[in-house]
Amino acid sequence: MGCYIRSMAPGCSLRLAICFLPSFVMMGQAVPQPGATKPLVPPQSVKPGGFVGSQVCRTCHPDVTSTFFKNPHNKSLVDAKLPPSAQGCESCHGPGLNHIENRGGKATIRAFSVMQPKQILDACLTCHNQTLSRANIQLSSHTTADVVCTSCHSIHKSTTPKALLAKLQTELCYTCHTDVRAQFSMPFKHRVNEGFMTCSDCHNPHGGASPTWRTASRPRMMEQSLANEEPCLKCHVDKRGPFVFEHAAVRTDGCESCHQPHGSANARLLKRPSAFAVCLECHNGAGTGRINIGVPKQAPGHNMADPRFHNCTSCHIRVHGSNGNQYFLR
Amino acid sequence: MNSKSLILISLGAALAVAQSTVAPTLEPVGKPRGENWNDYNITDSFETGYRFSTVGGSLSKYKSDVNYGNGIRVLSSSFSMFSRDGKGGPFDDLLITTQGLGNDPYESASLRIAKNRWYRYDMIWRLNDYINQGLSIAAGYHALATTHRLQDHDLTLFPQAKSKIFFGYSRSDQNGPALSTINVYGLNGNEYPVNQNVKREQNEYRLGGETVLAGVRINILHGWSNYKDDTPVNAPAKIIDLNGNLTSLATYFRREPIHGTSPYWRGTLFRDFSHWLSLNGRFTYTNGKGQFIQNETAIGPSPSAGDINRLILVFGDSWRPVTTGNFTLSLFPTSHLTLTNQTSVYNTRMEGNNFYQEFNSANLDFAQYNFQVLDIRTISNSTIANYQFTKWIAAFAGYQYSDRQIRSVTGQTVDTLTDSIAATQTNIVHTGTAGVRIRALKPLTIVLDSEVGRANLPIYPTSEQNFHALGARVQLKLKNVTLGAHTKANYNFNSTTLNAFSSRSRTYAVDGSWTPRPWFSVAGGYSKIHLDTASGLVYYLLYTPTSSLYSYVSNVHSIFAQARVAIRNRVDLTAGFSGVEDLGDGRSLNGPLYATGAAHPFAYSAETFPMAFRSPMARLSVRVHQQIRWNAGYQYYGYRQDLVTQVIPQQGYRANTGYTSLSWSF
Repeated sequence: MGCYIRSMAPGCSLRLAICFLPSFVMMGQAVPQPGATKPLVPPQSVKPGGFVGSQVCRTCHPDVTSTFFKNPHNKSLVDAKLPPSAQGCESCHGPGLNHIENRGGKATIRAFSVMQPKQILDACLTCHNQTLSRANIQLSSHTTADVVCTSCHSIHKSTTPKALLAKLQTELCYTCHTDVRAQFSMPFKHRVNEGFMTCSDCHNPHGGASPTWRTASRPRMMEQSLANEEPCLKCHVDKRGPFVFEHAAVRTDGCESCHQPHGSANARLLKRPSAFAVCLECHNGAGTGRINIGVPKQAPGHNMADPRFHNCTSCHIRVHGSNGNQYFLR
Repeated sequence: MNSKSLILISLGAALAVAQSTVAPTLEPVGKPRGENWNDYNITDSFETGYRFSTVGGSLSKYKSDVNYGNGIRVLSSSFSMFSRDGKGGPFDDLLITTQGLGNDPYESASLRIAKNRWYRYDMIWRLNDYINQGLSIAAGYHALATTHRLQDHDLTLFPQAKSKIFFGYSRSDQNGPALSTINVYGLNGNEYPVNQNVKREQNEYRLGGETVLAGVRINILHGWSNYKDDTPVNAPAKIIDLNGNLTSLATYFRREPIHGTSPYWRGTLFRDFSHWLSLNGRFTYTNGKGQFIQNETAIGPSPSAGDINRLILVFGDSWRPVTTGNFTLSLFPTSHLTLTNQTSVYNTRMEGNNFYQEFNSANLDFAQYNFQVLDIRTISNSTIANYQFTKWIAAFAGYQYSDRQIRSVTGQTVDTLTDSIAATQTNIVHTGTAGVRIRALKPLTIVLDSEVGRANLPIYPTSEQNFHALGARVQLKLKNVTLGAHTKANYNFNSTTLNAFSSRSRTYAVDGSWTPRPWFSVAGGYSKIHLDTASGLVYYLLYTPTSSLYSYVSNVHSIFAQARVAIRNRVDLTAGFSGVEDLGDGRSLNGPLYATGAAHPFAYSAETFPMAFRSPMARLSVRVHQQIRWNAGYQYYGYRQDLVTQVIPQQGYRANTGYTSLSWSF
């Protein structure tokens, strides 16, 4: 028996009861079976545009809906002020009437598993575009590489209560960034694998604003601090300054001039195993330096045959910037 | 489907008829995790147990790298309360998670509590017991054994409304003993180790709001960030120098409090024009200020004047006003094309001065006024076009122009004489990017990307000048199998008048995972990261200027593998291996930094750093009751260092760590 909403006469209780009979059959099935009787939606619950309400979706998708109250998107379901197009399941998947009338099918509804990456991005940005952290998503390297929302987020089967990620954030990022996993396997590293911090403490996977260091070109995808500073300063507050004598490299080219933030063999995350190599690669009189005569060489009194001069930071203790001495000695 | 589910579904169907909608099934698929109490669903779990570790070799390096110790821990816990109909009492969501409480070196706790439409509060608290011996710098005399605590609180009122109000507070504090060094009496003087008691804290307060005016979403935030460092330097009555000269200072004393504040404003704007154009902007202004005073007393032998008493007093101020702006315009002329343009501006003027005064028994007194100005102004504009040709092929191309001006003035005044050096330079960078995405089969994605850039007047010998990058990524995603491979090559050539610097890095990586059954999965990957750089060093040997080539070569091979098997939903076994090895340039020479007869004598043995770090692990979890599991884990850390120099001591270690715990959940 089939029964179509548009053909039903409102208030006809007998026909209504007959019409509901097949729906009882449907309720016992997780997925509508081909050839089964078509499900029904009472006419009064169909809104203009073919929106039927999320209650209807529960019939065939109980695995999704039974715990949906834990989902942040549940807010839309309980907000009666929102229009039907912005409420519950249909706010993402579009109007469900056609889907029901055709007894399911991915072609009859907005199914994210068959959508193109750009369509997915556009669908999510319908609501999420006005968030500050996603302001630069169209410029982001993820977008240009077809890594879009559902590549990382699992709306219905998330393993994390925050941000609805498909996996723990670290594992998720490592899935593609295998070389970064290798860097965090180095002996000394930021404590990401240990759970003390996450990739998004420093990076904005949705695309960051232009960096204020390294001529604003690279690195991209950084999560800058509130005043658009390098993210390192969010935790390493003693390096922030301002200082009377700034180490210009820190301000012009950023912390990664000397440090390898993911992981290193050096216990201070330096790019070279020995500090003097980091220093002397720049302090050799080459480059323009900030006064156009090259980066200053070491003073003649530094006899490098004497081992005491191999440890630059024994004397230059304030290499990130000093208030007391222009050579960072105090 | 079990009988309980059927009953629930039937009950739900009956209710559906009564409510004139189709079948709200209550909880049909087995028993969902959690208990229902009033309108809330509650879940709770925690894992507590004993962690142990044994270490052989360099304990200092182990603590710098890993730092797990012994003792009882609450390894992890979580508690949640969710309103099932979204109309709970004082809150709809409550979520608390913790990790490592009880003495792990990495501890954290987070809290989220929210009431739909009314408020949302997020808190995260983190603690890091940070022990870092820093053996390879400052002759091993720089060390930290501090506790660093971070906390962030954010409260949003009316989070779903057009107009919102934000409050925030963040705190960072670092306390604990540290070891540092001081140089006394200049270049020909000596270095001495000193003790510090690190005492730093930063407090940040935030207040902001958001509203929509004439279709433009406006978000304004004002913050106050206050910082102070009151770390005292304490030296014992007599301190011996680092250089084996047996010289000692009879007295050393230093105090150097630094206090600063950085109030800032941040404004953001957003406007969307019916999906064909969107505009957003972010603007910040920060007015950083600092004040300090340094007071130092040293009594001991100077290289030129015998025993002297020296007092130094330095005080002054510093400023760093910073203005930044980002304005982004995105156009969507067709459903296939996206054009995005971003203009960014950064402008800062760092300015500081100090008054340096020295009194000593050798040449009486000395006073000097020092100042420095460093201005940076950067303007950048980037455009990127993203076009989807067909369902299976798309391409993007972009161009960025950056213009940075740096102005610097450094000088000092002694008595009435002022001497200063001023300079201005402009750096311009042109960067182009292009790439293509191919998705010939739905599960197969291929991405090729490239970048080329040219910079004039690179400020540092290692800065990017003529650079390019090439990358490729292939990913196959099937239901149970994921395979990926990628390669990336970065090249930078920076030729200056005195030295040429070149850097080449190449990365190759493959990884995959296979989950044939819900109870069995394997994953693994391999990557190689190659880096070689060549640069020139200029230094003094026996007071004679000398130069030599310095090349650094690193060949990092890394592998990881993991397998998980679950037996009858009762036993869960995970085993894995993570290893990284730097083969360096193939040499295994230990020795002095200066190797006579070597092709590049200075820093010969600092041109490579072969080492290996391996960490196999296993974890077992057994269900002993419906709500209780017993867990045990073991992880080995082995660090081997193949090169020992005058600067880098042997730091190898082997550590066996593990835990046993009970986890309980409902």
